[in-house]
Amino acid sequence: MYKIKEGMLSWLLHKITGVAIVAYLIIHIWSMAKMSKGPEAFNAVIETYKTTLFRAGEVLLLGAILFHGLNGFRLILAEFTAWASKRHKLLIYLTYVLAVVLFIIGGWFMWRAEG
Amino acid sequence: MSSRGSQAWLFQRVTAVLIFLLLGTHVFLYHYLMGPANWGYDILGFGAADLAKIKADPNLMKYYSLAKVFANPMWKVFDVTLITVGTYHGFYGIKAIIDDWVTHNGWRAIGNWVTYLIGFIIWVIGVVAVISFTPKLY
Amino acid sequence: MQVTVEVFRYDPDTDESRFDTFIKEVDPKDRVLDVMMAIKDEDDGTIAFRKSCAHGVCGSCAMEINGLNRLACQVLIQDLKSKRIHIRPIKGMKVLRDLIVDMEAFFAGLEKVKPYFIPGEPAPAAEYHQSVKDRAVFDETTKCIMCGSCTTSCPSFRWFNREFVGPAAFVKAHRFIFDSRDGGNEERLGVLDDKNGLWRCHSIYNCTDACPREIDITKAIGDLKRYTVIHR
Repeated sequence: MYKIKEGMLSWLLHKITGVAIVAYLIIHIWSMAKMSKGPEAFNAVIETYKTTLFRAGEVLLLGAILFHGLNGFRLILAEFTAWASKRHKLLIYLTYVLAVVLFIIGGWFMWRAEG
Repeated sequence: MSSRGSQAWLFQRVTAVLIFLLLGTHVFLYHYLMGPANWGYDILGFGAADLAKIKADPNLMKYYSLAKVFANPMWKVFDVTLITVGTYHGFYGIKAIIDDWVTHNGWRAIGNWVTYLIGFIIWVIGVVAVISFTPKLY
Repeated sequence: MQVTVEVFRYDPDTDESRFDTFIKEVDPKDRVLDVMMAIKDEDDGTIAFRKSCAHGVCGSCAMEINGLNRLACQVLIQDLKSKRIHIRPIKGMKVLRDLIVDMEAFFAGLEKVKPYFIPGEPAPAAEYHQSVKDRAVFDETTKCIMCGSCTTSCPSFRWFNREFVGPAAFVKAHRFIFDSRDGGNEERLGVLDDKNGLWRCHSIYNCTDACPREIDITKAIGDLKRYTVIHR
């Protein structure tokens, strides 16, 4: 099998996190549209948001958004500047480190916060 | 959408930057100012009467505070922009994945149109909900 | 030191493929090509692979060595850091025999971008002049030896789309598009800004990692993307 190098791993993760975020976007827009149906309908949606499963999903979503955003920023830099393209491996590792650090900090706050 | 991909490529990057700015504001507003940081209500122009109502009924709090923001025309414009830019970027991204991974011409065309269709429906649901929103209270 | 060499074999007459294993005593400073030649001389004379200059200039001996596209003549055994050497033909092209692939599709991709000088209008009365600065813009992309390592390492070509023009053709396009003397950019942009063109590149950097000439191919493709967006 061909070796999966840094750039290839980032590309695969970018696609996977992208699909996950779009899946959440569909759920999010669909459920927020219930705002127009009044407080009862909306509160019922909010109750499902408070379940452990959904909250775990939200924390994972934070990870997906952090990686997708940071990697997207790196890609824009790499495609628009020779400076970033020359240092692509360093910048890729930087996105991994930043994504993990921000995920741990942000995820902890999200998990601790009430609903 | 044409075979010339240069505009689509540029759009995907421009919308990425817009989403970074808009989503940052969105998350900060709805999920920080109005969540963990209660003082957000002052910034958003909640009067003493509103705050009294919110404090009296915790169940009402989430809906009421969100409704207040949703009813504001400025935030309606903001949300419509975010929904438009977000669904474009997201569903164009799905289309690009299909372009790569689905190698059969017929299935690729079907996949693309299904993606456009779902994206359009989600966009309509979001935009209609935001524009038509009027607060309903207990 | 002793190494285990696994070599991909394909016989077009029987349409059967397999891996043959050879145990060889080698010097760590031997190149993979030396080991291949030793196997051909001492173990199995029927093994077929391309080689010519054996010094990283001709680009004949590109193959997938331990999961990465490289020139067999450039890789030292000690640099592989493994006692197991796994050799396959470069992917995404029809295998003719053993490690020899049909490069026609690859060259067809190159030809699409018109990799030759197209004079601009009006042509100068005497010779073309070019400043050192203007020459430096495309210096790196003149180094391509068309070995095919980059294009066959790219998932956009290997996995999805054999019609994809591919990184090697982009390198050629870069070499002429950014040449201040050349006037054929309009013709080339049509090929680049196409569904099989630049936009199938997702900046994965497999090509840059694979290039035996150390051309920063992804950077060159980035230059082309920006140029195409501005000029189309």
